[in-house]
Amino acid sequence: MKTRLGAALLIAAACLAGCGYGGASAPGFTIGGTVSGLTGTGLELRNNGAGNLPIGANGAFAFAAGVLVGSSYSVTVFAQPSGQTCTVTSGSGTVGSANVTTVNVTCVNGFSIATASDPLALQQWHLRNTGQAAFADSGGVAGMDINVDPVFSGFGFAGVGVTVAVVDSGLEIAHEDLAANVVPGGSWNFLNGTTDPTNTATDGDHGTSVAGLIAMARNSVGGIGVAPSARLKGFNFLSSTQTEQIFIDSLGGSTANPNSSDVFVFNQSFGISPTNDILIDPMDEAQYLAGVTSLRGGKGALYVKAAGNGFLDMGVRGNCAAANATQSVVSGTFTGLSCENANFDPHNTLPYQIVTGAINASGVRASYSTAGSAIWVSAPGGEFGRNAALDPGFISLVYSPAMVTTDQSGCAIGDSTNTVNNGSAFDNGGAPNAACNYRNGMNGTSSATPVTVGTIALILEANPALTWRDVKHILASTARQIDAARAAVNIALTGGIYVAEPAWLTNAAGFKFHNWYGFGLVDASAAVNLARTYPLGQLGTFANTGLISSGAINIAIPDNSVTGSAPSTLTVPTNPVHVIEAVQISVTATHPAIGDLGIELKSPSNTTSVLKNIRDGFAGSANLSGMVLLSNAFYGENPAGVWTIKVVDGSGVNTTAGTLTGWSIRIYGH
Amino acid sequence: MNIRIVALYLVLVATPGLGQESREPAQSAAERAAMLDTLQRGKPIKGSREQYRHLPEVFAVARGAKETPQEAIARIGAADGQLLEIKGRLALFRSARQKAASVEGIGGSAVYPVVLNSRTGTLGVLTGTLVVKPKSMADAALIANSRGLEKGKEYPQLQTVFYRVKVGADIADAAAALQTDPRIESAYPEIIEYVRLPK
Repeated sequence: MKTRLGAALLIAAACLAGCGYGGASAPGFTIGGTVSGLTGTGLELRNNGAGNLPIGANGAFAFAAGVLVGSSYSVTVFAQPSGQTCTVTSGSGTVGSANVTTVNVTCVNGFSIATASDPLALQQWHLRNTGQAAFADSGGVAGMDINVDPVFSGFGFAGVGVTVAVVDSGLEIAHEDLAANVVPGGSWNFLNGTTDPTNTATDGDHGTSVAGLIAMARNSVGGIGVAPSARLKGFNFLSSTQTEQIFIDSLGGSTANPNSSDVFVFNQSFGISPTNDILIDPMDEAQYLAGVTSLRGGKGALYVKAAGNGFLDMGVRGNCAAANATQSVVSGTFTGLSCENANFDPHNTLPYQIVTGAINASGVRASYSTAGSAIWVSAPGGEFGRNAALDPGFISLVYSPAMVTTDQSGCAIGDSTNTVNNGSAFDNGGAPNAACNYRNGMNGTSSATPVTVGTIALILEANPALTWRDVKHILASTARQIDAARAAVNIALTGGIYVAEPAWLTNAAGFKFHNWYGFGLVDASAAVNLARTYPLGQLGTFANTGLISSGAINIAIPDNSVTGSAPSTLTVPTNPVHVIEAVQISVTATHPAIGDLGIELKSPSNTTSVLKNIRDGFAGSANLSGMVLLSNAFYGENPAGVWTIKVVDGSGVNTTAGTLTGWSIRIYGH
Repeated sequence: MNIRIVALYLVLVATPGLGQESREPAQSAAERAAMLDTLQRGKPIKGSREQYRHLPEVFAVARGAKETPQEAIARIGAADGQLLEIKGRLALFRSARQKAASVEGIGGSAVYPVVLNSRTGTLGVLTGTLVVKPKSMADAALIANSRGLEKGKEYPQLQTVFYRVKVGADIADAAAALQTDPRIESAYPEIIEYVRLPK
């Protein structure tokens, strides 16, 4: 204390001679900085809760009252200017030996969904859920949204400067609510080699509906996207023959015809639903790795992917186990076990993805949303948005909100037309959709994915220096736990009750996780706030342990037994990963009906994750041949120590025992 | 997810999986297995991670934008072909004739050979493209010349070159030859086994 006072006296004495106080009456040093972006009137700043300073123009400012050396200062906005929101950065600290001139006040034209001029915005429940029906028959639960309005109103962020690729069936680049955000000449049509991927199909364009959820413009028509100023590129990969070259060219591996290498975030509202285990194509994996390694100047692109729509069933060739095949949104029968597992699509088992599940307007898992430990976060995807008067006979869920977004323009084509009954008045060209340029029946994890992509665009606008792993960390850290009281799904097997689908868990690092929701519902406001103050470099260098293998073990998996296979363990060393970012296992097993099997993994910190649930859609397939599964449930834990796998036969369709013949584990992290 | 109301009931009751990797005529697993058993097996082919067998009597053709699978099959003069499966734009059909594992040009359309995944029983389409990692990217053109291949796009960041097997040339033979070429780290034929669908 004496030293500081002594120094202050010396500095003060010296300054009497030369450096000034910023005002003759001010003892100590002045606090000031720069204002930018100000167009409105009425801005007033405060320091340490007093001394209001009216600001009338951009440029330098300084409070008249000085602050003594060693004292703290804290600049805040006392009054916002008309029509704008100003935020302070570098606004607090301790006064040293000079005037403070580094406080930044940035003003933006904030906006609110509540007062948006875009006529459909008030029905976009995923942005601001007031319980509105979104042109369906019934509404959801107020507040069950991505909490983006504070980002719009408080920061004015809209995805400016962030380029997003819609890798999908097409993109109507001239759509009235998208055109302003489409990168001129930046898209690609793989069918004709042009830069216009507008879909020639007449029965709807999935990509155009996806794009609207990301970046419908603020232009007084239609609705608004989560990032209404993000830049859009469209690659019609899904409409092509989907060769490996087209895959690579769509997902960041090409610099010309098309140029996908300047994309920040890739929207992948697609997937596959295999009914047996398949291995990822090594080129696909290599391209994802290249994308997170080299794009965005080495900070890595973001790959956001749909979890799938197979919770209830997997379709024509789906072989969901009989005991789990009674689920139906028609009858309202739900068992709580997912027929499809997010780990079935091998692209979901890569740590480079942000796999997204869907919730409905009531804030719980959408009826179709595929569950699994590979899910990172959840976002609104809605239900079906139908009107009973036009499409009677279903349970109420079908008449609850889907998503309001863009559709192919005009009433002759698209998902909204006036030529056939599309199930809702809105989608039949009723008011306020007389031109049929929008739809209210879009849903699926296809919809949850672009909502997440839009949120990431806001995050990257708030802090462009973030790496792909930083963004994943921010999403996980700020996601909101929903459906917190959801009970575990317990199944009676021989010997007792088996927890086939656990309730929410809290892992040893404090992260909450659920196989239906990942880390929870995306919270745009919390994510952007964290992004703005995020300390760069905190995640260290990305590393992995390589595959640590059990070798041949041949452990029996008794039929219909809660005991399951005898525990098999693998030990992960203390290096090179100290903090888990993802855990992959590869499993080989014999069994005539793999859908019977549940696979769970316990960490050294005693967190247990179910990576494959019993009674799933692999019921018609035999054996696992090195199937790779991923779990995010261990995020943040220390991986060093003993990991234990257990395989349980849940007796879905078959009464034969099986054998766990081997497994391996790989930890990703830092 | 993108459903129309006319299909809603069917989608939710009969085929509620709203995105499939492939669609095919309604067929039980047993019927499908029996059908596969009747198909002739051709040469073995090593893919990126799986083993396959060529099916000499099964082919694939890409559908036009507004073309039905049957119309696409008829367009290439195989109107009597039996539709087996649809993989996105590709219609897979069984023909009375048998051919080597080569891409064929018929009336301006490419007709592709089809393979069977020996482990999973899944059908895959050989596109006539080879995915090759040369030990040195500088050898890319030389490899094409010496093997009678057409060099396609290079991806230096992936240390990968795509080659086209010429129309009429046997893809299985071309891939096998590259797999033993000392200039090459790895090579395998591109096989479209699963197509992504909107989710």
